[in-house]
Amino acid sequence: MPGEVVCFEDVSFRYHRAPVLESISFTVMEGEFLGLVGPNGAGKTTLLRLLLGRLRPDEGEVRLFGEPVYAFRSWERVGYVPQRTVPFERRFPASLLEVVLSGRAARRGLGRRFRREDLEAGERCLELVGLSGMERRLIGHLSPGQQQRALLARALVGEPDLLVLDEPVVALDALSQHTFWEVLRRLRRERTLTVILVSHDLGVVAEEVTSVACLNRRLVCYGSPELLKEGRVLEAVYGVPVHLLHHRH
Amino acid sequence: MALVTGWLSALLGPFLVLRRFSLLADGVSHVALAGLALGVALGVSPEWPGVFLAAFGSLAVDELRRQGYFSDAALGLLMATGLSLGLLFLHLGGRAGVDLQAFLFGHVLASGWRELWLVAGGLVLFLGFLLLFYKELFFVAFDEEAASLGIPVRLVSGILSALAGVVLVLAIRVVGALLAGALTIIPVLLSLPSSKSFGHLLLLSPLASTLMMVLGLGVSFLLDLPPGPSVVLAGMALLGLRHMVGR
Repeated sequence: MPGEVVCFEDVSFRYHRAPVLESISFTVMEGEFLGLVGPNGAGKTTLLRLLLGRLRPDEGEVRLFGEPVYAFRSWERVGYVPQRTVPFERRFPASLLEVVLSGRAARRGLGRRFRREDLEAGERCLELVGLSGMERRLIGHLSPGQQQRALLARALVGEPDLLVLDEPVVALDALSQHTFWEVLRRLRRERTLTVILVSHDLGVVAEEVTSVACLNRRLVCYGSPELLKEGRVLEAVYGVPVHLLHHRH
Repeated sequence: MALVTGWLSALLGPFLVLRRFSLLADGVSHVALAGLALGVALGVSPEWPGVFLAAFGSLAVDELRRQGYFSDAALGLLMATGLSLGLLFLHLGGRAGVDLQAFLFGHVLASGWRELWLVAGGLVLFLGFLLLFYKELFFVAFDEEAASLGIPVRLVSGILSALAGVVLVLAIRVVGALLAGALTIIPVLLSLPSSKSFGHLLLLSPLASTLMMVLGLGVSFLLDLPPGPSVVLAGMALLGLRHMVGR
């Protein structure tokens, strides 16, 4: 029976007294692929920051794997791909393997050196994302699409149970987006992985996820991705009529 | 002693330059100057107040940056305050004329065994920290936001900041407070074009520093020039040469 991975229980949050999130409650179960959508300023990034323990809710509780986030210590169970709108500095002297391996630091432990098994995990993840053979390339010399796959490999190398993706394909061209989604699909076929994805691409989200949360300061709706195909739901989320263009990558 | 101090600065450099904190070294060295001057004015060993103030200054700037207050203006303020306090302490201690030149531009030729042991101790400390926390330091330098998930970034960054204070106090003895930052920056810039990885950069940077020191101190000795500026200008000359060769 799938267990609880993420739980938001009546969570509210304010920035300098301005409400950002109000009474958010939902639970993400093991194996679920949740798409988090909403307009700019809806509180999606704030919700992720609460989930990752970077912010504390003003009201309510956030739990990860059944533990309150503020007491959660097993961060190696969480893989995170942050939003990036600009490529990495071209001259930053970090090899692809160094970058990917850094995602293993939490699992290995503070002050402990990487071992052979960590290197092998890094190589496996590079193969998974289609970057095998490029271990010694500098991260800044990769294309934006390759860099984003490198960050995905970094998030996966720690063998997480939960993967959090914040706008992972923003600023990528169509081919790079296609490659990224292909990798994600393959990943979900091969592993039991819970995924939370923030994305503005409603069309892709509607086709890829198993559940969707529509956010606009409050949780407008939570449930099947079929909800995104209902015009009244999208209008309630975005405040204007929205016509969904169904597409996959 | 100059060589070992150069190695220390060159090892610290990548963690500052690549995080775009190059001017931090200058700011902290100015604060260190205030500490050194305070030690002289009080008639105690100047290194300890220097290290304490430099480490404190470095930690304070790191925290301000994390809180979103870091800015060019704040760094400029730090530099001006540090230099002003240093000059004031020297004046109050009646040593302004004697020590000012040494603190501002370095006095490596006046170093003895005591200073050498201090520098060697600093090197052992820094190398130990680097070897123990290498993977954490790399992750924080490359992507602090992602690193904060699972790595105690504040702790790692805090220890690095404190050690940066130690390194910069030692660098002041060689090239002075006004030029200490250059010892951390130039070797990194010299080594970057040839670096195939971060680990590679950490190996090349001290080698570049060695070249810079040997050339600078050699010219200083032969032409009877101040050692501190000679070392920095030797580094600049090497950078210029590298740029021309690299074309």
